[in-house]
Amino acid sequence: MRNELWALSMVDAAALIAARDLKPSEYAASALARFEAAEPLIHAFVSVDAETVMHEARLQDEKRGGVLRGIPVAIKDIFDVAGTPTGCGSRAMASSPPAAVDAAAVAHLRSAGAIVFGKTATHELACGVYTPPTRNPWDLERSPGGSSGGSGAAVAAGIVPGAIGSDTGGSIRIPASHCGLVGLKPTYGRISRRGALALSWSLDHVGTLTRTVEDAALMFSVLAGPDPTDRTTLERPYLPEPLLPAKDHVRGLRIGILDGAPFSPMEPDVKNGLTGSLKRLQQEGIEVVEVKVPELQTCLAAEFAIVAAEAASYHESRIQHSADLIGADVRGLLETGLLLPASLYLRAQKTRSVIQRALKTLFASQRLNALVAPTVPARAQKWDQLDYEFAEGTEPVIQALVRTTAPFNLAGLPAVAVPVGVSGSGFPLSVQVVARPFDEQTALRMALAIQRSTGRIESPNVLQTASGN
Amino acid sequence: MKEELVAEWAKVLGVSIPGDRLTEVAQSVESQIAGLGGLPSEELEEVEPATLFEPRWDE
Repeated sequence: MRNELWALSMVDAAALIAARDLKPSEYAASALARFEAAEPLIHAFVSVDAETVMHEARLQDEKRGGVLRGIPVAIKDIFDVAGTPTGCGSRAMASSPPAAVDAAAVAHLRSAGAIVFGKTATHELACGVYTPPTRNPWDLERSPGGSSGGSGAAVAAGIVPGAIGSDTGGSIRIPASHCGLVGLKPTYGRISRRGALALSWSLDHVGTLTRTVEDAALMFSVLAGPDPTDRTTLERPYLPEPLLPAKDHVRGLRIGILDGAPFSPMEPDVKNGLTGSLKRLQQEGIEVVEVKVPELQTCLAAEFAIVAAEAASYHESRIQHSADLIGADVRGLLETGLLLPASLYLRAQKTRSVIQRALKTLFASQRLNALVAPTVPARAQKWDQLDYEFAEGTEPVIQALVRTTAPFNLAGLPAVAVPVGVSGSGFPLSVQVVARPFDEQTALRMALAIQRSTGRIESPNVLQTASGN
Repeated sequence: MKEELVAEWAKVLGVSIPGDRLTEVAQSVESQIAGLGGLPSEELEEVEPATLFEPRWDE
């Protein structure tokens, strides 16, 4: 068991601070030391202002209250942080002026006493699964995933205990899976998107990357809530309190295991991780049934049509005037989106209605509390790897990673990616738990049961990774 | 899809796609259209798209 401050969970650190056994300034100094050691290897951040971090931490030393008092958190560089430019990983936005006000999510974190530690790298315009130049702390030759890859690498390396990201087609859950973290994509409309770059208005979700399920619940309870400036958040059900009951019994809950396309093909290690976690859940008294949703096979086509069309609309002026500043992969998607017929976009949105209805029917007919599926079908790709080789054939990396995550962006359902162990070859394995709309509580409770039965996986020691130990 | 068509179409929309990128974009558009954006239209009769206009004014 590691005793260093950087290895503390957010919940444990917050408890120590609340009990005055740990000063926020002491904790922040430890985070900065970890940053100095790990950042040259993983390149997770685009900006960290050590002086400001220490200044804010010392102010928190004198304060009381705030469930995140003195906790350093990282912010994906698509969210506005007052006084800092929002670069969005793109040369097309490199000359953006400093933001005037915090994004809603950032403001919520600060109100709870959190300290903005720095801004993390994103795949360009939050549209991709590599996040260059960031490296995966589990294996520096591999990508942390994306698009919230900087947030994932920063948390996995132990620099901060939590970070925020965005998820339009898996951009929180893919880095969570690749980096051995808990990734929470709440229900669409749970967390305000104000002050965040849009990729696809109808698919964008704000969420968290943490090392434990309890930490995800803590951050989520701070971030969720109505915002008059984001109408998708209005008139939503209240979060239950407590979000994670102290003595929770999951015995008797019923989960459906999603089988077949688009969740297969998958690598054998991923399949073993899923099977092992299901066995452990059954031992805890959870009922498991296999289910199929044929409509989900059309998810990728609908996801890419919606993202391309909405992103092209959002960035239309940039495509017209500064396309040369946008990387080839993202530029191609934006140009494609601009040229697609409106009827195709609307057909994709109709397909989405069908998918939503199919999942609703499935939950009702099978009396399910949650669904479980592999978060992604394969281990983290090497930073320059374009395809996965499955036994069934070759598949582009982006297609393989998004086909398992996008169904729940299209359906808007809450999904929690949670580690289920480490493979024999030393990479983290992950499953996602999906619940009914606005029932993040069940998704988190089930994820906690998985974490309990698996045991917390040890964070990678990025310094040892670098030296090959 | 013909590259010339893509180039003209883009031009009408105010976008200039360089010649060396036309093949890629044409293939991408063709691929998206071939994918139907999801289900075929026969299976979507009577289905409303997942878009909703909200008449309530912002606060």
